[in-house]
Amino acid sequence: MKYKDLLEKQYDYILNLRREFHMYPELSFKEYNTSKRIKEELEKIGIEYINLTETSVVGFIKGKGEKTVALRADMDALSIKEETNVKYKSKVENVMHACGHDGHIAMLLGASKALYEIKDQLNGNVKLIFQPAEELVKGAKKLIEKNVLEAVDGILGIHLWNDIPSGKINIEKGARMASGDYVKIDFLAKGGHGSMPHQTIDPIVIASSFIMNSQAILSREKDPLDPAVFTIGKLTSGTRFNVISDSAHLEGTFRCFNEDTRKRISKAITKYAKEIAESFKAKANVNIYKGTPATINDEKCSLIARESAKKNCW
Amino acid sequence: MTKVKELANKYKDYTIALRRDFHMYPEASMKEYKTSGKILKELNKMNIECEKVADTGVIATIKGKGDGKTIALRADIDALEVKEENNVSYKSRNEGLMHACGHDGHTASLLTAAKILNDIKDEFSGSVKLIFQPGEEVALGAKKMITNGALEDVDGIFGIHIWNDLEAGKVSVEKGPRMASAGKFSINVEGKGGHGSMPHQGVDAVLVGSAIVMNLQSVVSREISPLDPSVLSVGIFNSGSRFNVMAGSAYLEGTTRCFNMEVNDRFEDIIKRIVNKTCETYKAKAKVKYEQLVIPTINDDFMSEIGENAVKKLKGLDAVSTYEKTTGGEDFSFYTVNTPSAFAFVGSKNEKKVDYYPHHHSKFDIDEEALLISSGLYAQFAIDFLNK
Repeated sequence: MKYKDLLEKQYDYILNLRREFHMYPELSFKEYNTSKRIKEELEKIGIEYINLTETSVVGFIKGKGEKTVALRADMDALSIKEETNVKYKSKVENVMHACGHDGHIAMLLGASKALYEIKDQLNGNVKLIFQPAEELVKGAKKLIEKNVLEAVDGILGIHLWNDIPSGKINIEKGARMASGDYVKIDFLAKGGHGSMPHQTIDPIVIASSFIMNSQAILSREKDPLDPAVFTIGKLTSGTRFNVISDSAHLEGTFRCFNEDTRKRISKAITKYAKEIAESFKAKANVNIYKGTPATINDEKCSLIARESAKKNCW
Repeated sequence: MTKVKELANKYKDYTIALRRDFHMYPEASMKEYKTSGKILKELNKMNIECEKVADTGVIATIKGKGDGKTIALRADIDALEVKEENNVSYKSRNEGLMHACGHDGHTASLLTAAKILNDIKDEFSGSVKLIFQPGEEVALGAKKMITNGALEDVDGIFGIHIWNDLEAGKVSVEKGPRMASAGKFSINVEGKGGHGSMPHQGVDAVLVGSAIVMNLQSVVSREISPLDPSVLSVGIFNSGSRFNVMAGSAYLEGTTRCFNMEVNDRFEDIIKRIVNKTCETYKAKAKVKYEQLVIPTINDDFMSEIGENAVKKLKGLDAVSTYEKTTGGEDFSFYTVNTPSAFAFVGSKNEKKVDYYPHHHSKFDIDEEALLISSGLYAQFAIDFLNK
């Protein structure tokens, strides 16, 4: 049987599984039942698996060869109250598969079923990675720390994407998603009475000066052809109109598509914050928590993926 | 020794006991029910004509021997929402409230001055109007008293503040600006929220708010004469809720101070202009509210002279002091718009007797000798004004 026909056979299986997962969404690192169901399905198919971390499931289809390709699907849902009125609406209060991960699990289980049937025709092995906590940007890291990528020669992930029409698939080489880092800055100044500013060091002026000046990091210090964004989403300082507070708290994010740029922007943000604070005789505590690196598609893998998509689209 | 000085000394214990009683039972601004009740009681004991005004204020009148002018004497009576941390016998018994600014002293001093003036009322012609005013700390009391007729037929007004930043024994009642105006502004910036990674789809309120703060720094540095001391401070800047969500709105609050009505009257327009134009630059919108809390307290020359001479009589030339005007505000200023006036700082700092803490501090306390001077000064000023 052609692989394409084999896949078509899985359609109902995948659809029903997706709806089941949709009805019972679980939050990041708490995917207990989801994990259990995945294991049940793998057992039914006859695929071996291990845990690696509490809720992850890593399956292995042994074929005839040395190479191993990994296929990854994320498992977690979000703290969102579902407002659709479908019959498979979430049965869990305030939790919803609002990002499509239910689909990813179902898709990978469907693919696993099909691949297992033709495992003797495979020129290598397939590792199935069912990964928790993607939304927290923590799940992948934990699995990698447990050597999930050992002896893996390539990896493919898929995201269902509501901003692309159904029937289209996008796989391109190069940068596809940005890196994301979380920035926390506290300016430590000196509070006092609003009518005697000379006795204080004003954190609102410092924070504002930082916001204005840091615009230059992207407008002046970066190659215009290298996309990046730096947003401070939250700024809080002060409690009374006539009192100068002693600190200002800022939280933000910066994104880019290039590791080098990422390092340079990180350094620049820290430098601007510290030096601006110093120019006002204050101090800045800067904490940049690294999130994900940019998702950059390998050229060779992208070509393979594009060919695969062409072969199997109907 | 003047009659006033003699009587002030005689009533010293009375003044201190009164002050401590008020100190023990502080009441919040505009809620001085028991305080005003006590004031009326004391005045009635002295057989001084008095009445409750503006809910928690008191106005009393002492008539002299014949027709003449009317001088008003004003004391504020409200306390603050501060938890007292002094361990004194007269510590506040009202949880969370404290006379942390000396108003208990003002009330006690004015009541003593009433006693003194009542004793010697055939030594002056005209009348003395006593204004016990609520809500100074919220800048509402003076206005309310004025609406209720406090300044009717008044030819001059005198007020006192017991002042912990001036040595006990010193009094400053200099001519010219003594305390600043205070304005309060609030700014609501309306941008357009969105995802932090797609700034071009929205209008970043954190950025706009920051630009406003930076631009407002130039008001004092560039638009007001260097010879006109002024302040513009932004005390609150809150915007946004999540690190990766671009803020759609920002809220700022601040204050203005100056010593001159001309400058004072320009603040609102300047702030609105800068805020609105800055917002326009970034395609944002703003709502600006501006409130005049108090105007500058400026002593009239001749009233100041009467005050300084009164101080000389009571404590000698050494007591007449200079004290740099302060950027703090007083709603006493509202009485002074059309009425000759003077406001005195009566020093109460004495680190040999009392640990120094600034006004509004939970450990604020005064050298009670200042009460003696205050009661004498209220009375002496009244007599000297009426006899001029």
